[in-house]
Amino acid sequence: MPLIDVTTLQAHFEKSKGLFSKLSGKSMAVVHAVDCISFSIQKGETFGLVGESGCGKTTAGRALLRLLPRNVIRGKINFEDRDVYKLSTSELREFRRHAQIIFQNLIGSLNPRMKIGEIIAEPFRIHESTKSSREIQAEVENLLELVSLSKSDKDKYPTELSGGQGRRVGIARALALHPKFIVCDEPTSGLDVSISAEIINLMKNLQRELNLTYLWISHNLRVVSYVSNRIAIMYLGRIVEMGETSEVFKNPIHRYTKALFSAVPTIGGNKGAKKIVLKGEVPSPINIPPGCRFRTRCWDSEPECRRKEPLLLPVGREHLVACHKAL
Amino acid sequence: MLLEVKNLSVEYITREGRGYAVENASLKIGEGQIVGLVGESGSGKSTLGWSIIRLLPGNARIRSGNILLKGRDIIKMSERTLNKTIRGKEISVIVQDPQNALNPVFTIHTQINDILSLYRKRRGKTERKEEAVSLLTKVGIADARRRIDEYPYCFSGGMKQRVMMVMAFIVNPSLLIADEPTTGLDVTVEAQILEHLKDLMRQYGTAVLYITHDLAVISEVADKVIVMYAGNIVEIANKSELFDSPLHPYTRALINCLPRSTTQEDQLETIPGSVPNIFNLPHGCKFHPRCELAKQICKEKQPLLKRSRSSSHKVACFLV
Repeated sequence: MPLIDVTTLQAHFEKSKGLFSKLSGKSMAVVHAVDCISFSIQKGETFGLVGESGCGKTTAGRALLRLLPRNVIRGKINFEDRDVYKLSTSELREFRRHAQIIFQNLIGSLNPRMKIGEIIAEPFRIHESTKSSREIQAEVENLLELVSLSKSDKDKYPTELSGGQGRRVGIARALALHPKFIVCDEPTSGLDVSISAEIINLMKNLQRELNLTYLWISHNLRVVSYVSNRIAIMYLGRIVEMGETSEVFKNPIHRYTKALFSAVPTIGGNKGAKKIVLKGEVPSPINIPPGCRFRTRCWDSEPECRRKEPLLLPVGREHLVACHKAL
Repeated sequence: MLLEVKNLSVEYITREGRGYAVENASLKIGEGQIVGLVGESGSGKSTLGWSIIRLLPGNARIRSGNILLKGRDIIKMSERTLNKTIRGKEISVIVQDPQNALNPVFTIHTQINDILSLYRKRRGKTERKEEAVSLLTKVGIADARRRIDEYPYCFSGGMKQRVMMVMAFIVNPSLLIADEPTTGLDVTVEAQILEHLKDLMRQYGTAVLYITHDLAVISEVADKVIVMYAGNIVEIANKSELFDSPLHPYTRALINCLPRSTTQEDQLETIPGSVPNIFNLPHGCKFHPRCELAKQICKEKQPLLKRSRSSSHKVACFLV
């Protein structure tokens, strides 16, 4: 049984228009952030969700943790076989312990008026209020050690931390209540390579020690290919390709995946291969082109691509592609 | 030689104290060459880049050195001469954040036209607009004739950067300083930008100083690479030399930090410690506290940039 099972998840946001169009009764513009995606995450694995800005990967991650209002969501998200959007208040409280997030804008997610020690202690104050302050302090120190911060750091304020230390605080806070599942939203973006490597090593070690399951959201393909067991590539709210990381990287089939991989700058690599440079821009998620969403930028599209939206279908063992020309 | 920087040192004066962000840096850029300047945040790479057009923050002082552009020393020039003959004439700049570089209350057309009207004085208004449209089309902006009348907020980050490139190249500069132009952009957009940048360079014969923290990008665009650490140039080499046989332990460590394959067993290499604060730099080689190979001499004396292996490959390390 997978830990997380997502079936036909959809997240549509209504975009409020100006006063005039409201008065004239025009219909609302709808942003199709996530459109009908399905995937599951096994216990103990790292599932990578990649795509460019605006493809819906962060929205999908947030939906999984029930951080989006119910009315924008369609479809089903099961966590340990229970629909997260149908949990009762007490069940939801329990779910919040088990499913955590490391936010993309980490420094922004740390309250600047709270000391690091207080920030890491907060989950205990909410969920384990029976604990004494001394017990909580001991937990905080353990957590700091776990993420290789020094005990003296707990008296610092977030502004006194470097980028890498800030990430460690975010990781410590996410780990506080012994979660089973963590959504890691761009945990290494904006860090220098050596710091980013430290964070990746730390998170992989923690995963092994604590048997964690990660959803790793990133636009950095190099990092995702390194950390994840399986990946899904998103474009304009849809998953276009999904499979085991090594298989997808060795044998990308969707034209978008190919272009994306070939665009990654590599040292010494790709010498023979010609770079695929995509033309144009990603279409707006308000006016999604009919048929295949990638068709407007695809160099290989056929009339069929305009007529029918391709389904995500298997092309190999656990390798799925949504392209009419996949087979 | 188009540009020659000799023994440049730049000091910052702050409440915390004084510190050198660039120390004794020397480099050369030939006509039409792309030179990559890499280093982590705080290495002084941007300070070095911006001192070439003398656009440094008010608390920065150029303490010594020469910056010779076609033989003329930029450091000795008056602000007036700089503005008249160097900035936006010989040297253009594109920055990391095109969002803030474009004025939000004017259309793209107005902003491009501002520059065109200075450099193409004899041409009429419609002729200038034609040129602007054709330039935008050239850098891959679809439907440029319509979009040129839009405001910057209607453009995506990658499109804004393309507008910046067009504006930088209109003046036909001999040197372009590109400070992290693709940082924060998606890889496919980055690939587009780099493609257009290379096209424009070839077409205008412009040399580029490409400042970035991303070694992989450098390996794709640059002819020559300069690696900086804590204000010092630690290695200069042609691209192939640097990536095939990096000599400085810092360069080697940087390259090894990059996740490369999908083999997940081994740990990524890291560099212990962190980049030193410029107000409290270590003695001797600036990298020695983080260097696995450091010997006694590294703690006592600062290594100078010296030739090794080939005449184009220079490194500042006692152990090479």
